[in-house]
Amino acid sequence: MESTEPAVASFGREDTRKAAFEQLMRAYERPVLRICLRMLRNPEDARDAAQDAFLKVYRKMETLEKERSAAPWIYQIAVNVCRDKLRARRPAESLDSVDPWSRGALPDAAAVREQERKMIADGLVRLPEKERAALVLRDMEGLSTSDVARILGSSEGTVRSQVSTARVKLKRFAERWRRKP
Amino acid sequence: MTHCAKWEADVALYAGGDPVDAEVVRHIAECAGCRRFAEEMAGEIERWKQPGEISEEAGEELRRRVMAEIERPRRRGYFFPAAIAAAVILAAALGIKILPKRESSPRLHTAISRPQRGAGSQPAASRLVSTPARQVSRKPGPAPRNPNQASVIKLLTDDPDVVILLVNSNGDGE
Repeated sequence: MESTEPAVASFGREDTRKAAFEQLMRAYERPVLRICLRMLRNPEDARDAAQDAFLKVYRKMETLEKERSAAPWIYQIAVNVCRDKLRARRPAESLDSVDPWSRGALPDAAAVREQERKMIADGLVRLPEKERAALVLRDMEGLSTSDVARILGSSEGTVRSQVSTARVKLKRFAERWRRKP
Repeated sequence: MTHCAKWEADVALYAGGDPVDAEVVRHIAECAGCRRFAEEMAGEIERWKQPGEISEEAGEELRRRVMAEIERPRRRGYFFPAAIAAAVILAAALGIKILPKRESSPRLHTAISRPQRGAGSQPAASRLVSTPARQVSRKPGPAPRNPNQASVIKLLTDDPDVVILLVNSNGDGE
């Protein structure tokens, strides 16, 4: 969870409101972009989703209570935008029907890291939407199980189950990926 | 060396640092296959946690786009006309009467008039005579109908605010 919580002041004046929003954006623009990228994989889609999410944040700023942490609220909006975009897409490919193995030669460590990153992105996008969201928020963004549950509107037990299942699936995917010549 | 399928989900939670029952911890300590699975899983999760590839510039670019969108004046003028049109169409489709219902249907009066010779500049409509619709009266007079003269038909209803005029100018400009 973000440690630096920007002050969300009263939004009586439009310029105050915009200033507070810009402060929020500076704090959360990169985590939100990262979440969107991991949810959607495609950088263009991720940028559009992040933009839509922040515009919603701006429109709904009054509903953000002063004492409430902004991060789960913003992440919830971002995840919901991504889920809407995912539903508009064709169904995700199965983890078992992967053609992951279009990778080329691995000339150096940077290329290996890049291939690993691509592999994780490939694996993530093949997870069911809710498992993906749970794994991204819990393991990649480091949120607590209770925060993830709040963001996804699920119980903590459900989130634990989704995270556990997703970890096992992604581990298997990674192992198959590495075994391929 | 394989791990125990029965414990797989719990070991995956343990490997990620999630709280698990003491029974799970005990099993991992006793089972080499599950212990190895837990270690491998922990290694994977660490790799997933590596910072993403979002640059500072990407964040700034996003912020510029969002702020520009906020600053842009909102488009107006489409919603209300569209909503009103939709409401009217819906009302028509459902057969809803929007206007207040009258006690009886309006009684129509009709008058037909033609300009009289030598009538000067008095407008034709002002010389109309109103009669009930069933009795169409014409101004008395021997003059036959001149096709070049304008004729006006005024339809009157019981509602004094509703008057319908039908004008036939016959192309002579009068």
